[in-house]
Amino acid sequence: MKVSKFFSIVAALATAAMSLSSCSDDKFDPSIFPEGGDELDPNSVTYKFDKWLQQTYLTPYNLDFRYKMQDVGADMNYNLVPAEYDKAVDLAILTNYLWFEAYKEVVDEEFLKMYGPRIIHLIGSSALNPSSGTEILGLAEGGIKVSLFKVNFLNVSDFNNLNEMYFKTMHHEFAHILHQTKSYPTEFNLVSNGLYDDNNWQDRQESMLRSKGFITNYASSQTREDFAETIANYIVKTDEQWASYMKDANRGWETPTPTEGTDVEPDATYYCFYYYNNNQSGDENKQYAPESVVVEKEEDGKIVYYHKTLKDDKKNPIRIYPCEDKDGIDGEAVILRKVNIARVWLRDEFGVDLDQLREVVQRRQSSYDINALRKQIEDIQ
Amino acid sequence: MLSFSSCNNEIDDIFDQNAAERTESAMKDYEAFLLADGGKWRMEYFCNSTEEGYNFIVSFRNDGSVTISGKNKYINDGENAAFKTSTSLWDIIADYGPVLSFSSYNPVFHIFSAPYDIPGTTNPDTGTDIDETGKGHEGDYEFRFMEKVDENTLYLKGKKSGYSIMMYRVAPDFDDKAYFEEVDATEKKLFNARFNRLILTTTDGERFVMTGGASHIMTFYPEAGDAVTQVCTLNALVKADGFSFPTVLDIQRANGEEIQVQHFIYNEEDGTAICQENDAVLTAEDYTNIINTVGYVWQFPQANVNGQFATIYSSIVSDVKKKLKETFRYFEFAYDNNGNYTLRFKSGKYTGMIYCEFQRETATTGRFVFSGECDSSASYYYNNIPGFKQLCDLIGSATVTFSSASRLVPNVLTFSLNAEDSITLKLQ
Repeated sequence: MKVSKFFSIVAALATAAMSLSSCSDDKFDPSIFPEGGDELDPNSVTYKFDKWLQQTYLTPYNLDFRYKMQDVGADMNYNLVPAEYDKAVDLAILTNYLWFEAYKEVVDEEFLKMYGPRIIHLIGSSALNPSSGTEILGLAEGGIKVSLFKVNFLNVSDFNNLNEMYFKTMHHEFAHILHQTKSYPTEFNLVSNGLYDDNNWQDRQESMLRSKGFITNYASSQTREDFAETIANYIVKTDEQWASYMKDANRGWETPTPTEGTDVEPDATYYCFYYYNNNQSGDENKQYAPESVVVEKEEDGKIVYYHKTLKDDKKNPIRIYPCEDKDGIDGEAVILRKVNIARVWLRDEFGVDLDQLREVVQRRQSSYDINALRKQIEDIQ
Repeated sequence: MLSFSSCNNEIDDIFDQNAAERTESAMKDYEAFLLADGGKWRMEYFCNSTEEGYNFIVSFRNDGSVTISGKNKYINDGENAAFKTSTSLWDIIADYGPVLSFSSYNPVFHIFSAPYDIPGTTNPDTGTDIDETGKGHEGDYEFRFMEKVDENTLYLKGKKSGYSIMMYRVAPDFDDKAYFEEVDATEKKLFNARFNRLILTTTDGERFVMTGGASHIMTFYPEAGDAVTQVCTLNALVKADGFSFPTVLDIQRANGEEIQVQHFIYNEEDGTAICQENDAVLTAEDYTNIINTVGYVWQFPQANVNGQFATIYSSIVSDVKKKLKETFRYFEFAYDNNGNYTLRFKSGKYTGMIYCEFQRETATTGRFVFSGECDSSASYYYNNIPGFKQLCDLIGSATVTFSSASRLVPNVLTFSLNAEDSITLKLQ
């Protein structure tokens, strides 16, 4: 079996975005689906779930939560499979708890009724494109429909996995829906102008990109993805994860010059620490240290770094030096500036307090009880 | 007046219902058809044109659930194909007319639609792994209803691939697991990689070579024709009563005309398979070619001989014991890679070789010819235990006739001098 390196995409269809930009002030009709939904069959094995979906999504939000696969509802160019029923149930209840109820708590039910998607379509597998090495995790189409992929990989006990595969995707897609409804400020387009690479973003190193002001490598593909990625990551990443991202953003990076007899590939790897063999400075002794071997120590109120295992001839630990930040970009400041543009835009255009939303999502994702949530469906009569 | 009368805009409706109503009606009709008589079916599934077909037993229920059973190398217990059954959801949806959709993931069925790398596939030319990531088997899980062939037979087509899928109604108490065991047993009777070259003989006597049976990707060409330009290949599915191709396969005769084959039924009486389209018979190669195959070793212990052979074999066993204090183990015919045809034997810790030839006479008859030449070990036995020479003389005394209970997998061959005197050989 061969394992290829795939990079994940959460995308919005550009044509749909264009077509909707002309009707940004339009409001959806109360329902695009039959009033109260189709009549449900009490004999069906899915009756309780279907009724819960009707009560939870269709009636209040006019949203059709499609957990059964219909490939006409997906991109026929991909080979896809349906979601497992039990995983679809879990994702439906978690989507309500971590997305819809979070917005309801921060704004109100009307907000999602007005701007939320009209269809959520669950797909069991990835949408893999072998030629580009990319994998679609989510897709927002025309501000109406959000498709979520890889549902069969759902692991309800790992919220980092849930965030990465689904909830970050949901917030990302919802950000697309919102900016397809009311455009984000053009100021955002100028922040990292000239640094996007729509064709090779998947080959760029994510940690290094943070020092250039992108929260993820996908954010570096184009401005609208940068906007959605910035919002989604800000909402779902824990304080610890966000701090780690900012640490990357503040580091210097170098592209080592390949020399004969070394494994260094040109432009392939970037290092944020280096050291000298035997603690003797000199270009010929310079080596790069992966982050994982670095130990931080405080000496005289100053942080210094040491190699985790290497010692010099005198058994002293080898000193590690951060690479100089030569790109001329304050990565943390750029990312925070992007967050702030999104913060102001959400507040002014939609009345959404981004920080409060983050707080609510963080609280919910760190404390949900999946069995209690499942009980909502079990209790349906 | 005349011209007006011909311009009447009132045209009688062709259908009583509009398109949506007709689709709705067809969906209900197919749903009832699937659920009738217990709702249990055997599906013959092909996911692409280069891979064997797979059997599934599918039980539809009117609560929207469906149970699917299968057994193949992709549903395995780590190493071997294993029987598995799993329940998921099904629907009939409107999409290009009524479509049967297996609408929630079923691990027995949807593995053939998942876009992931297929374990164990290698490029035959380079031996390197083939990476199917993004594609997988490319099998369908939505099927267009094509035709109710009869009350118990349904013809479907994969919605994306267009491959033909047949479903046959089975009884509600049909034993899924037993069926797959039966398929395994039939597979063993039909195909064996050591008899890769099979012969399809038409009723008018033309012979076609068929290879690839064990892989279920079959190739045909006329034996008297061109193996390169007249070759045709198709994937097949083995079932309990034989094997089938997903569509009719047109095989070229040597003269350029065609015969059609699709379904083959295993014939228990003589171990052949009969083509249902034209009564052509599929067998292994002629026995006299098989016995003469380089590398094959055919063993016959004492229990496998009859008549005069039994008497001589018995004397050999007892004389070896008495004179040499050894236990005689077995005889075997072997055609080694150096081109030596031998009657070999093992006695005690010694192995001896008595050289011989096999001369083919017809498809089922031939002669073993012994000159008395032996290797040094065998010479000792040949010259001191009379039974060795007697056995060679008897085997070589006349034309022998070969037979086998299975004409497709003749790994047990009997040759006889007459009704009483015979030896049964087992391929090692």
